[in-house]
Amino acid sequence: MNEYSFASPASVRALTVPVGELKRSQFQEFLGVLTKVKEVRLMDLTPNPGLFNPQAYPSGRLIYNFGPNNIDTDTLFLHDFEPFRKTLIVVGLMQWTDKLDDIKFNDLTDDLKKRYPNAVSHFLIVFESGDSSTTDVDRVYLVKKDASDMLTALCDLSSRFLTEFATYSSSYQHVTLRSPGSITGNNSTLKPSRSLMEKQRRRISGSFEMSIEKANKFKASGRRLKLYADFYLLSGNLKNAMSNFCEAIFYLKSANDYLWLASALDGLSVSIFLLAFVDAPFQLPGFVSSLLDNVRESSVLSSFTPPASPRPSLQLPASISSSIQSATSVQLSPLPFSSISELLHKTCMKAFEYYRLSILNGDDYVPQIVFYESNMRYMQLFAAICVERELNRSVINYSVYGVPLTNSQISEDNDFDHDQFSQLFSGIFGDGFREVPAAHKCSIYNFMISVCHMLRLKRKKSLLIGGFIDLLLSSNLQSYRVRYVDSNIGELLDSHCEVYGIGTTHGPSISDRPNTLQKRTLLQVSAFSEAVGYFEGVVKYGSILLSDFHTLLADSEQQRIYKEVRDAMSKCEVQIQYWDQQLLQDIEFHNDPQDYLVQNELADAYITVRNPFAFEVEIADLLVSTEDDFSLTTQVNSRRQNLISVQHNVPILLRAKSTVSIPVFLIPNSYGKLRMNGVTATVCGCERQTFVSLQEEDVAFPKCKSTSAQTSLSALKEVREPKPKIWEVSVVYEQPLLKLMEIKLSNKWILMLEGECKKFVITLKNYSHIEINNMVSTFVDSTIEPLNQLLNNKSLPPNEVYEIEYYLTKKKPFKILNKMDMQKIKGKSDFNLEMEIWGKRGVKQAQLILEYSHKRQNSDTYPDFTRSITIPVNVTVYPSVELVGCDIIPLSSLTKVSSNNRGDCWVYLERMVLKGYRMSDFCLLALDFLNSWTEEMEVRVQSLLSGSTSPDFQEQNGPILTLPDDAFDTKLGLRSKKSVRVLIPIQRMNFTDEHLNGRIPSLRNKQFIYDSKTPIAEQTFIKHAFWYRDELLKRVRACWKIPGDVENSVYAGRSGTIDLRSIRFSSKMVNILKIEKIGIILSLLDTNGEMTEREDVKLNTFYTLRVKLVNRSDVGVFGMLRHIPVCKSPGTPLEKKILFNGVLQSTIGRELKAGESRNFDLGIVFLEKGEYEWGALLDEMDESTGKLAIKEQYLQREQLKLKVC
Amino acid sequence: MSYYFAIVGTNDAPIYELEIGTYHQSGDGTPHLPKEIHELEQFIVNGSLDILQDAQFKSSSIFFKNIDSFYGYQVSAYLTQGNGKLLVLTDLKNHDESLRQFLIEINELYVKNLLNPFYKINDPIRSPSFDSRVRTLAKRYL
Repeated sequence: MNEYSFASPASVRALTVPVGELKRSQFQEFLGVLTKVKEVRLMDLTPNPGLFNPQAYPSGRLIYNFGPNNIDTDTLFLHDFEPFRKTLIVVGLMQWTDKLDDIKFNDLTDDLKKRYPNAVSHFLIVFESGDSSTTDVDRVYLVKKDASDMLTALCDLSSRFLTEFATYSSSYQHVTLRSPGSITGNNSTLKPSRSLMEKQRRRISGSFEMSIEKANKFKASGRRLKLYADFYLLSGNLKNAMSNFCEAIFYLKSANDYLWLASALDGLSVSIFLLAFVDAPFQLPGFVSSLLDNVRESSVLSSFTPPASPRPSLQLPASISSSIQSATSVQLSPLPFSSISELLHKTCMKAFEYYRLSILNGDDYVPQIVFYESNMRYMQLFAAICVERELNRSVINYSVYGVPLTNSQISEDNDFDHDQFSQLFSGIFGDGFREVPAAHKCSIYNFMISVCHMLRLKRKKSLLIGGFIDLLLSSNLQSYRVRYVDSNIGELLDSHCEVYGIGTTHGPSISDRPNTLQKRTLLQVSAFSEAVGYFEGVVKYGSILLSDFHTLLADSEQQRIYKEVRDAMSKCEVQIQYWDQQLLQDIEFHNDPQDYLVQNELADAYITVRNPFAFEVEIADLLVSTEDDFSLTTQVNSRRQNLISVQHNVPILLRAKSTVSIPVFLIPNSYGKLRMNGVTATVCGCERQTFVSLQEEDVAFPKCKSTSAQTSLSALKEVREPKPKIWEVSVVYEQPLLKLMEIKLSNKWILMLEGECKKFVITLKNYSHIEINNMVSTFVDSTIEPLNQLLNNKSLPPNEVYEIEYYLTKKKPFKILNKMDMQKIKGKSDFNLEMEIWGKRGVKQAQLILEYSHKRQNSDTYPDFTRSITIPVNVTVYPSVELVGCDIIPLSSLTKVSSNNRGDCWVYLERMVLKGYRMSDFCLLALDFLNSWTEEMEVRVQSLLSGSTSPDFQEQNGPILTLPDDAFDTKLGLRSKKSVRVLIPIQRMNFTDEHLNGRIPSLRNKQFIYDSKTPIAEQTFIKHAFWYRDELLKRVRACWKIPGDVENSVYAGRSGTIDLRSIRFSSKMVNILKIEKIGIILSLLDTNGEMTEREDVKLNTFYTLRVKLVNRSDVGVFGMLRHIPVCKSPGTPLEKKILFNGVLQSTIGRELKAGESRNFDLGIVFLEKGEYEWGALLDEMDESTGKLAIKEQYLQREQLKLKVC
Repeated sequence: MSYYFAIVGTNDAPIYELEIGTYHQSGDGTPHLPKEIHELEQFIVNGSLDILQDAQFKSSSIFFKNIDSFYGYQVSAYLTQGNGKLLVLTDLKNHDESLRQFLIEINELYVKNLLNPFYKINDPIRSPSFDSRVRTLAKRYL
């Protein structure tokens, strides 16, 4: 029977103890057999003459409460007040053995008596006795193996007990009964001090009270009656119990003894309940009924006035007793259950009311345990009635025998009186609950949790579970823990958590936003799981805390929980998910993300992970996961570790509250599109899982002005769930790898003189098995950067730009001689690169960059991928022969070559004159060379008559090998640090205007920019100079050579080209070089039309001055011809020295057409001796308009110098 | 006398909590709740919802005085129109009208808070001004 069942005051508490050598299991088995017998009918018992003669009330029953626990010691002070708390019987259970005999039995019973001297009766039940075995020893009962005679044995036992119980009760006959509060000074039942109000009330009501003597007398008899009523209740005599209770109620009410009155009412309710149980009719006396009916108003009642009699003081106790007797003796039918239920309610409520009143009542206050236990007893009945909707037979059986109810819980739609529950509840968990001993608290919690479960009060239940857990955790009593922990603790705790909205069934999850209530629940549940060794629980609840509540947890709490979870994980085989699903933040490649990965090659990447927790997190087996089963190998790059120390197979530690980029190598094992969707890893010993990085999609909200409530609502609805981020990168199929093996140079260094060419070999090896079928070479030297910087200068004239561009694009320092061999390089093979290097001034370092790849056919879908190798070549260039200056010297038709001057130049000119060229067709190019080298050099200059047609003439190095006959060639020696001027005859150039005004080309294919700043004349000059120089460079080449006969020189025999590009033209040089558009040739003829000697012109003789105009341009010319005679000797004016027949200035008449030549004659006579110079010029004018404005002026090239004698 | 005041949302989660002592009878507003109550107060208030949710459909009133108790501490409740609950846990057994008045004014504050377009129902109320207003009201009434 339950300790707190409603009928427990009517049950006889019996302690069962093992006797002899009995195993625990056997004891349990015997106890099971014993407790199957729930009751003993009084009619089956042997009559005895004592107070509790079973024949006095044969329909009554003795209800036993067998238990192995002796729990009456701490309620010793209550045994006089509530005798049902006392252990009345001690039953020793033992097994039959053949060694047992009567003497032994006697010893055992005596021993039992000695051990439990307080019990009323001591018995020995011997189980599994043989059919023949008997004993004559008193108090020893034999039970056969099939336990068929168990009931008989118990009946005998009960008869014996009733006799002894009567003896025991008789000892109370003359005892003055005191309230438990005055017996013990126990602090556990603290009594509140009497309030001032109460004292006043007592003083006021005192005037209506009966005399003290009478009150004491009433009190004493009332208490005794109440005690005996309890004894009757225990012995099953319900009739006597009830009448005694009623009588006691009368006396106690009269004496205002609230505590005992309440207890009597409490006992009365049990009597009523049991009477209903045995279907016995009864009737309550009138004063009791009226007391109960007055249940509300009576709270202020201080003196009892039974409504049956207007003068209660005149009524005698004897008459009351008789009235009860008479009332019950009348033949009545049993009350219906509904009335019983109502009556019980009233009685109990009344009892509680008086209990509460007694609190203020001096020593007679109610002990806490009595109050809450009576509340709990009624609570049990109340809950059972609520579940069954009414008081019925199953409720009674449940309360009396502990037979389970048909429904374990109240049905969902069933409603009950929450108000009343609340009242009972506050009665149990009242002010004094905190002072209740821990053991009692446990029982109360246990009981109330089951009640709340029955009534489906889930929150109350959880409140109590929480309190219970706190209690267990705070008490250091291991025994309690063991007692209350069973195997399905997990379910209990889960349901406890679910009440607070913590879902645990489908993986740990929190509905809604985590709150502190949930946090505290989880902390408590986790601590409890830890305390009882329920490690799965520690892991589960700890995980929920870490995953959903880490923002609410302090750092130390997080660390503690983490430690607990890890410890628990090592103790149980539970696999959980890691607590932070947003572990992965990003995957980044070390290089530009637009780059491509190459199959089977390492790629540097960073995996960014976060640790939001206050403890260190360890990551093991980190792998990047891909879609479509793309095979990818991940290796942690341990070389780059500076944050965390990583070795192979050692987990990576993330510091608390940090975000760390872990460097890794990714090796794609195939090619195509690589789509990485996250990483898989084992974090903190949790199960291996894939972490993705969620990507929020940008939702374009409409602008405020144009939105209505409707549109903004619909926009909000469209906010989609964040999607897992995918990192996409292309993987190119396998690519070759080239390595430099050797550069075949002495000392790995090239020492050369400026303009020199050298060949060398570079050996490379293709290390992979992939063929290289695509290679591009680039050359870089140390002069490129300064030149490029110069190019950035916007104000540079175009001819200078051309020069720089020429050096950048045309005159490269390297040349690959075997380009064709580089088309295909097979895998795993060496190949030689034959190189030629040219000594360019200013080069200190040079590089050859090879970009190569393997290209498959039909590989349009794959992007261009090239890999490059840079081959550095160390170069030192010393200056050799430099061009330091240049000039152009004109030659006239009168130039004579002296016979002493036999330079190559003059020889050549003479030869050319012989060939029909005129001397004035040439001019002399004077080049100044300086030998900067330490040894003597031989300079050779070659010049073609007209520009070479070979397009790369200017780029070629070395002397022109096949010189035509009309070419000029000269050699001369040049000592160290000396300079020399070389004269080179150059045929003068005649270009059309169209050619000369052509734009200076851009070698970089830059767009032409119109120059508005430079004056047009200058622009024209620059263009003209450019084209003339261009032509010149196509004709002339200069080389140097260290002659082979120079002694002790390691450089002997070396040769190179002298760079002539530093030649710059001035306008004078251009004028000398070019052939005029309009040729003006003057000649002096005598009367016979013969040319005269210029040195020998006679005075006073007729001569004809002939001006021949030649138009070499493409267009006709019209204008004025002007003669300019000059006499060098001073004196008389020119008009008096020369007579001329005509005019000095005249029009040329009709247009001089292109290619046409015309003579203009002027007759002259010299009148005076002296030296004359005769010049002429043509002013070109516009014929059509007739204006005299001069378009252009042409001067004659050679003046006519005359000597008149 | 000490009070624990909580606003419970429609999902039964606490959205605002305050522990405060009385300012009357020379109190300085410091709560003196014993340790057990301090630890259990949220759970006690949560547990009283079982009783309150039954009572609210049986009665037309919105204020429930001493609807539940635990450890001698009384729970009083006030229902808002949106089924939020204002709950007070106190050791004061027989309080007068002032508690009801307090809760009525708190309800007004709560409704004003709900009108805030940035506040979503059942979100925790973290506004400092709300807190200070509640404290002012507590000072006046409790």
